[in-house]
Amino acid sequence: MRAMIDRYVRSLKEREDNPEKFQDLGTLLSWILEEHGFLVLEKPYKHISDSLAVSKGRLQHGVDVLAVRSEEDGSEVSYRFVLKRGAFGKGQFTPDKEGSMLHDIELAASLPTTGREALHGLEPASVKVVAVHNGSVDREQIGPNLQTFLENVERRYPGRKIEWWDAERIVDLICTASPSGVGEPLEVQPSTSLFPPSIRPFFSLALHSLLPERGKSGGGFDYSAMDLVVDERLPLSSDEHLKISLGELHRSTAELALFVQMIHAECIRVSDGSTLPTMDSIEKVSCRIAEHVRRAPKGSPAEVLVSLQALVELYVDCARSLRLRLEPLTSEESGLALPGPGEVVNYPLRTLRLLGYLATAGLALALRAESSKSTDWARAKEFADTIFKIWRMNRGAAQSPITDDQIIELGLVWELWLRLGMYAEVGETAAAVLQWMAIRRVQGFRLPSLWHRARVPFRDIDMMAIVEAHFGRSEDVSSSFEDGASTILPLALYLASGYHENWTAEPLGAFSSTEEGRSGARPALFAEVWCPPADAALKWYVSGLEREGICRCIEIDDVDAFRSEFEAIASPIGESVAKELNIPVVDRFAWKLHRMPPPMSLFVDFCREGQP
Amino acid sequence: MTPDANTISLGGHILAFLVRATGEEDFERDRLDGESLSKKLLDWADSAARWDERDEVAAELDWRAAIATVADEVALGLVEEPGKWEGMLRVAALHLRSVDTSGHPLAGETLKRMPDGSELKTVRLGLLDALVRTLLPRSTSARRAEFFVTLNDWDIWRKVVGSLDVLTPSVAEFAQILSSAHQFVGHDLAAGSIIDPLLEWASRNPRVPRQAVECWRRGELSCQSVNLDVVAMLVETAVAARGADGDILDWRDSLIKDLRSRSNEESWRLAAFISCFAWPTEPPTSTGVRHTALIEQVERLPERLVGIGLSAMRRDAQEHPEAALRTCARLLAFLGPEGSATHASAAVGIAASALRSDRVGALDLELLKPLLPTLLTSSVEGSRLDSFLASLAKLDLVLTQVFLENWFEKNATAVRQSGASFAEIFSSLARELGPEREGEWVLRLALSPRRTIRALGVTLFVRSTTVGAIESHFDNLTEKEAQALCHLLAWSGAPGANWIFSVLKLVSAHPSIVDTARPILLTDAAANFPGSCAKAVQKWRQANAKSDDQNLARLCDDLEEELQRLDMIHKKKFAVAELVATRPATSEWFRQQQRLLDVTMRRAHERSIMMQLARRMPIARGGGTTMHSQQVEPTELKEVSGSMEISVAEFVDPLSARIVRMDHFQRADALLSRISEAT
Repeated sequence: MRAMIDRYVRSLKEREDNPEKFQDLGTLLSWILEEHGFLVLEKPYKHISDSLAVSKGRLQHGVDVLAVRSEEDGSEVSYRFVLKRGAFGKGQFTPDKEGSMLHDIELAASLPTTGREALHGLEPASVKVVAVHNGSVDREQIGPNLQTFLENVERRYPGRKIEWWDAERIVDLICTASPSGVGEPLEVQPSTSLFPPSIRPFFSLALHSLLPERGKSGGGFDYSAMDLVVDERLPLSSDEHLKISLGELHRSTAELALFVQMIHAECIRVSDGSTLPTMDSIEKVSCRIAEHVRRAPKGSPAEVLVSLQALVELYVDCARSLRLRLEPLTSEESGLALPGPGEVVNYPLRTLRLLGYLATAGLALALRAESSKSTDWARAKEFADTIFKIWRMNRGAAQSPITDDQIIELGLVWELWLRLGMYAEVGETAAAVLQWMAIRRVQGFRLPSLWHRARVPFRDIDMMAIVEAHFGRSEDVSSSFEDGASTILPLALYLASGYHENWTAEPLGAFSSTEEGRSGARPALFAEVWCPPADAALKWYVSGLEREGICRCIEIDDVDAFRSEFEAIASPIGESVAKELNIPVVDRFAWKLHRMPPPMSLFVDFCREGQP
Repeated sequence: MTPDANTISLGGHILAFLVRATGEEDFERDRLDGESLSKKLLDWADSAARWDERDEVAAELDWRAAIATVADEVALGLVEEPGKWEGMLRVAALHLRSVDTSGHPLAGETLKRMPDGSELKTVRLGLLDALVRTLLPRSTSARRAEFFVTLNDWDIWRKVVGSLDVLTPSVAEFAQILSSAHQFVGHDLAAGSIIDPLLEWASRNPRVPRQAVECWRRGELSCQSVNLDVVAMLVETAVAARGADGDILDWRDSLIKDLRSRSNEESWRLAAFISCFAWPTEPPTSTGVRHTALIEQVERLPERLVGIGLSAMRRDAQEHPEAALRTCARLLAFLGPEGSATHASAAVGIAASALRSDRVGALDLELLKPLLPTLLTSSVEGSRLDSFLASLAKLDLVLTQVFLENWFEKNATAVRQSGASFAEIFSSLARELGPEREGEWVLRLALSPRRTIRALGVTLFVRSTTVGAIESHFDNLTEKEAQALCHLLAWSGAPGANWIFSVLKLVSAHPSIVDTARPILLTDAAANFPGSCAKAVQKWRQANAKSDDQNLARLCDDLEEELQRLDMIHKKKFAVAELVATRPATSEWFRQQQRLLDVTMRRAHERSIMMQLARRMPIARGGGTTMHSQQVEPTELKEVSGSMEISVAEFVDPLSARIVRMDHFQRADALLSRISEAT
């Protein structure tokens, strides 16, 4: 939390034109002061009705905020705050330059109390001038000079004390604030009061939905509120040329990252520590950031990248918590199943969803390790091993996807194992998926629904159709349920035939059509490969490309011919922004979020590289 | 005896009572008024009888004549309105039927003990009979016809057919009465109580049935609803009543010829039926002759006429079982194996009747053999298969058992889908066998070398409500059979409560199979039916508190330990937020379940005889209910609910569960195959 707050603090401008909507250093400082018992007399904004507006035209004499506080000894002390944006180094050490920090400090110190505090009817025992800026001080270079300057000012203006609040000090003050009113610091009990008034309702909506009365263990998390938050902060215009400014992108990115961190803290506090709302929120926020970076002119601020990396790191941390919680169940048969109504559908959905998070986190580490840190390999391997253990004890779920778009989760798992060289596991599980699909078909069970999407949250109407189909075997299921084709089938076949040592084509017989028998004729199951458009990587942060690309039917009777055809049609696609930024896991977030199958070229590339 | 003023007054009162009671329904008022009038009528009749002064026979005649006099006066008032007869006669039958009194010479035997300690006996007034016997002759045939067509009351019908002697109906009217009565009784088992007196009257007036048939042939009967069954009765009665008179047989033959020449199937069916049953009874005609005549008729168009032939045999089976069985076989032979299957139900009826006939001890069971292939195709519903098997079991248990196995093999799907137990499917047979033998048979079915029978046998095992009777035969099993049975019970897919204890009993009877039973109990049973497992162990411990069976005691200990471990895992799972929060299908699934339950409940209500009879009154809310007019304690409302433990695996991962179950079946198959090979 502290790091996220730090990034947020550093992202703020000294003053925004619309403090109602956008936080600036002044509004944040006012919040801090009020939380710490100051009475703020002069604010950098004014109230118009219930809204905040920028306060301009006031004669400041360097003082941006004037506040008063009763100290522990009972004396009343006036605080004159001088605000500046950014770091303070050699370049900012310009006491003679009007408008600079040092110049304004001296100006603020020079002002008699009759000229300021008396206007508010106060006669403070002492006056403190506080230099506030949302960056660090380059103490190595200017530390002694700064100290001397401040001492001189104090000497020149008796009765004046000078304090220096840099970013670290501001973060300290925020972290120790207790806006909840129950004595819990912000780090433990998040509060949306930190944020500007206009965005607070959206944040509150999302945070309050984590309360147990809305759904046990975070089950009632309001994803639509999270969408509203993201749209409010990083709106997407249909006109790509209408971009938000880099400064705004920086601030919004940091703000959203901090809010996601708050969701995580709130989950720990009230949702039994569920990691899912946090990880889902990270996926949403990261994709939106990536889209804005894609739209931004080249050379997006490094701070944005840092926030994105921080979000990925938080995702990995959450996934690790999840992995550790699931670990004790990995030795139990059907360990991820909970007895209860609808578990026939819940269990496979849940298992593949959880495996998806673990695989994505593993990929975040593995992809990073490929380019830099080697220690991440070991962490990625931990995820990969846990996934295999879960799969082995939950075969009935992992091998029975409910929707065809769960090829995404299966693909992420297989991609992770391929990156870590776990080829035998890929072969075994891909063959098992094929085998299981064959048995399901022969035994009259439903296959993955082609047109429904395993979104989070699941759409009610989709769930109704799925449950109808799985509840009984009656023919009167919704026409929106279709399991006569599969995109999972060709991928599983490609990987099984490529990586399974003793692969046989025996299960494939179950996918061809049958004559009219005791249980009626069974049409063939069509194997289909979706080929995304060449520019898919430019679009997948905002949509699943449902109506784009080409779906190719592919014959599976002759496996060699199938493999050749599969490789021929799995053409590579263009580079993505996330890859350019060296955070390719954000692409996996996008596939998951918008339910877009991974490009099959990914798997073909592995096979072509000569493995195993 | 001449009626005096009092008589007229009483008749008038009764008439007024009947008019009011049929016009305005008020049961309590009518009951009280009826009681009062009945007492007056009894007093009046007693005063006419003068019981103390005369001998009982003469007094009773006068007593009945007095009742008749009152009835006559009532009838006079009713005669013009046949539309109201039935209603008023019903009221008379209900409220003016009898009087409870003491010391009356005509009182019945049944004693009624009254709240004050007195004992009363019932005197039947006979007013209904008297009313019918006076009302009908007083009326015109047109009014009577109107009455008969709509008459819908068993009591009144009985009185009507009992009054034919005083009515002396014309040919057309008799045909009308017979037709209306036949239509009313339908296939009711009590039909004979109305039809037989009619035919008996016809046999005493033989010209009537023959003339009625002739009228029917010429299309002169006013009542066009006279159906062919009635015609058949008339012909049969006419021929039987005329004895060996050559004329009547010629008449019958010409009728048959006429019917055969008509281009309608119903007439051919009638011809076949008449040829079998319209024969002189004195001297009796041999069944051989009758059946040959029937077969000649059926032979003309067997596909259409075998059914009527079998109906005829069903009637003959009780009296002439062997001949009926022989002819039945000949009739079915016309159609071949496939065609005869459609008549399986009729064939079962014939066989059942034949076996239940009086001369059953002498019945040659070889006669059944040609029928068996057809009988095997019969379903339980709508046939008398259960009755047939119960009768057969009395004569030959082995034949019954062999037949039953073959029948189960053919009807496995239907039996499985019915959800019924052996005793529910074959209740009479189960009673005949007794629980011990029924258990033995079910066990034998469950261990049959034939897979279909075996699968069904296990299903019947787990559905049985007398599992103890099956378990009592466990000692007779071989070790391999006991092992196979363990696997088969695990395969059954039935609730754990139905089979887990049986596995413990198997281990108790065959300690050597503990290694087979252990994984079944510790994996399949414990994981899927934890509640049933715990109960089974508890039950075993209670029943074997002093047992020194260490083998089984250890198994129970292990099972309890496993249950505790699973309980801990269960709690662990519910502590993982990510598992609890990912159940998106739960509410929709629950909604579907609820919808299914509602539909099932509605269908059950539709099928329930109780629900059809009872008036349904929904209660809005509250813990009790009472009717607005009753000053009584409210009836307390109570909730009724039930529950059963269903396999967790079936709920969670049905495909894996099915694969595991199939594995058990295959293991049992292998074990039982080894036994078959060895023998």
